[in-house]
Amino acid sequence: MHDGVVYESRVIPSMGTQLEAVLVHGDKNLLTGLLNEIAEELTRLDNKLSHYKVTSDVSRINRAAGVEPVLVDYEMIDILQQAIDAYQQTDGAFDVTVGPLLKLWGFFSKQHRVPDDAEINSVKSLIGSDKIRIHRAQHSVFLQKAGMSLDLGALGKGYALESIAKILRPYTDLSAFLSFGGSSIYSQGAPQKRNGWNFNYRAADRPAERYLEVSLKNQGFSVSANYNQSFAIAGKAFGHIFQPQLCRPTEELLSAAVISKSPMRAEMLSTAFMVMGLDKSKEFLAGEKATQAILTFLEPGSDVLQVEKINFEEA
Amino acid sequence: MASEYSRRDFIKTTGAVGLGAAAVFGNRSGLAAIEKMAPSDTVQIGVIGTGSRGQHLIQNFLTIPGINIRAVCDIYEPNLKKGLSLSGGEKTKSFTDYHKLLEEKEIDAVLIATPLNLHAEMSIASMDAGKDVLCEKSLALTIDECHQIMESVNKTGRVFQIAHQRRYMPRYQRVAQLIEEGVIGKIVAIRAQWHRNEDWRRSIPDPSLEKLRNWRLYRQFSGGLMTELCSHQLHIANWVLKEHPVSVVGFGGIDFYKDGREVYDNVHAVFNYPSGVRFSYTSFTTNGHYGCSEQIMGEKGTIEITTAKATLYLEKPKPRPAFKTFVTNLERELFASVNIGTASFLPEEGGMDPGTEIDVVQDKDDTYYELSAFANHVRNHERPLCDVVEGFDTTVAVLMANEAMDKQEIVMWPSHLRA
Repeated sequence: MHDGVVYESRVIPSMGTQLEAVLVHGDKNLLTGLLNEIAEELTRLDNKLSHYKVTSDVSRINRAAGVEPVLVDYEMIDILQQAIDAYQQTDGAFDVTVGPLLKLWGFFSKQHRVPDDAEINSVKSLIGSDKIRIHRAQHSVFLQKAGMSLDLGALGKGYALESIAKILRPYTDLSAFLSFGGSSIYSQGAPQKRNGWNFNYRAADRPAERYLEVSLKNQGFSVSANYNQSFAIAGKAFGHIFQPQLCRPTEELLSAAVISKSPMRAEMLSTAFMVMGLDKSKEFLAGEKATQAILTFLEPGSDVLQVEKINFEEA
Repeated sequence: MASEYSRRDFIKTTGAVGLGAAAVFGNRSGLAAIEKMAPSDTVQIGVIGTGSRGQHLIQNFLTIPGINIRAVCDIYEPNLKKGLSLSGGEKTKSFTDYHKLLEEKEIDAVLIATPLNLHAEMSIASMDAGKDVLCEKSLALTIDECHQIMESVNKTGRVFQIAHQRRYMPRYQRVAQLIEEGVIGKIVAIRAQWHRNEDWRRSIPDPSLEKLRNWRLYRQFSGGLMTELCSHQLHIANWVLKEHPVSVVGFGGIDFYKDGREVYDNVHAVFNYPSGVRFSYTSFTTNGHYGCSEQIMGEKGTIEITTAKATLYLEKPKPRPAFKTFVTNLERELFASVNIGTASFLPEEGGMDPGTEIDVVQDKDDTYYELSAFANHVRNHERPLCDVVEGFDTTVAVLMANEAMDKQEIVMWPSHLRA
């Protein structure tokens, strides 16, 4: 404790990973109460978004794929609408319907394999967020084809951080650092005697491990990379982030980190940039100056790690 | 005394405490130690009661360096012979009257493994005869007898150990240490059960032996599931809480075995401790699914101890090392950046802690540890860890539970005997 300031931390299992939270304030009781409130909010969202829970909205929608529309509340409608908007803005790079592809490549069973063209063609028609039908007036969601599957893993943590931010924002003298397993992070304010929340993130594992520093203040951060959950067959490495149109894992970037006011936007775009690659990401970010990105890749034909920081000069 | 059976009756007709083909385990590793030991270091033991429990203890005693079973005593000839053969044959004296055994000057200490109703008179007579005592649990059949034994220990100054072997087992020692270190925080509740699916009967070669072979089923010899099983587990609760119950409620009944038994075939009791912790207990003879275990629940975690292992379950997930460093740096106002960010995809299993087995080596029989400790307590003439007070606090509590179940009333601690 310094100058009457309390650092209260808690680890809360949620969203298939865990939220690591630190809150800073003078009133310990307030912090304990807020952490309890955050835990309750995460339970609520897990029950809605998790595809591991059979009763979640996502599971109900997936079970009814190709059969019938499923009634949901308007929060779910808004979340899916944002996912569809991101799909359109990124020309299909961000897509919450790639589940059948991951399954085909063995990511769920952890028995990785490279499917042949015929197999890939058989699931192609199941991919594409344009096949999600939202009926706002009836508050229903329908996946048009049997076998389609939603997976909100590339936005759920970001959405949860936005929901937590809404809980914390009224406390203007409170600062907070909230991290979902290190990959989706939101910060409010700054800790004592600092300008922001500083930390390093793992940007690459090739040619050697590389950590880059970032500093956040009232911003969300997300990193996507090909180093986790990758597999190799016959000397070729395959990551877990898929190029939806090609139905193959992305290859160009090693990692994509995004900083945005919105942690959900940061999370969606970090995945999208992995799919889009360097040039398309730069083009996209030229039209969205408030969003910053750090993209890493190996210089073509060499082992030299390149780090491209975009939109940092305006910040 | 509650029992209408006198010592002589016991010596004549009981003592057939059980069957059991006991194997004698050799102890080669201890031989060198024995040879080096001065004769006075060898503890001369007399065993009173060589039924199944007595036999088990003899064979484990003899795996410990510096132990000689000087004499055995039982009234049931097959068991006496068995005890004798386990103990070394012609070198060991045998008796059918335990008073005669107590007259043997060379005997330093006695092991009492007889039915519960005999513990008090045998313990007191042994201490009066100048012997140290290792007495099987429970301490005695009535609260008055428990008090008499405690007074006898105080009067004679003999080493008196009650055979709650868990007190000396490395697994339980380690658990107690972890609790002391605060790993599970403040204890908030303890739960234990000993469930079996067997009628608790022994075969009888002759109907006249029924009460004597099946003494555990009759009130004049036994407190039933409470004194024979619960006492071990309640003793753990007393140990880790460092207090004894102040009141008990419970229900029990003879609801399944309508075979003339007098002790309950199922018991459910709650023991209330001064600190506000409650110990909930069940024991059945009609369903064995949950077996025997203790669950010690604290604000920060739970430790479950089974007959095979002890497992720690933390209430809250352990933070990643990077997150711990991150928080520590904040608190110390260190400005170094911590490597906390990393891409994650298919995640680890969330939710409750799947548990971590507590790492402890326990590669000997459960009773080995209490027996070797007893031998040392006798050599050094020191008060045992599991002394008469621990025995008193445990046995009185389980006897209170029997009274609570019998009367269907809350039974209070006898504070006139011990605060």
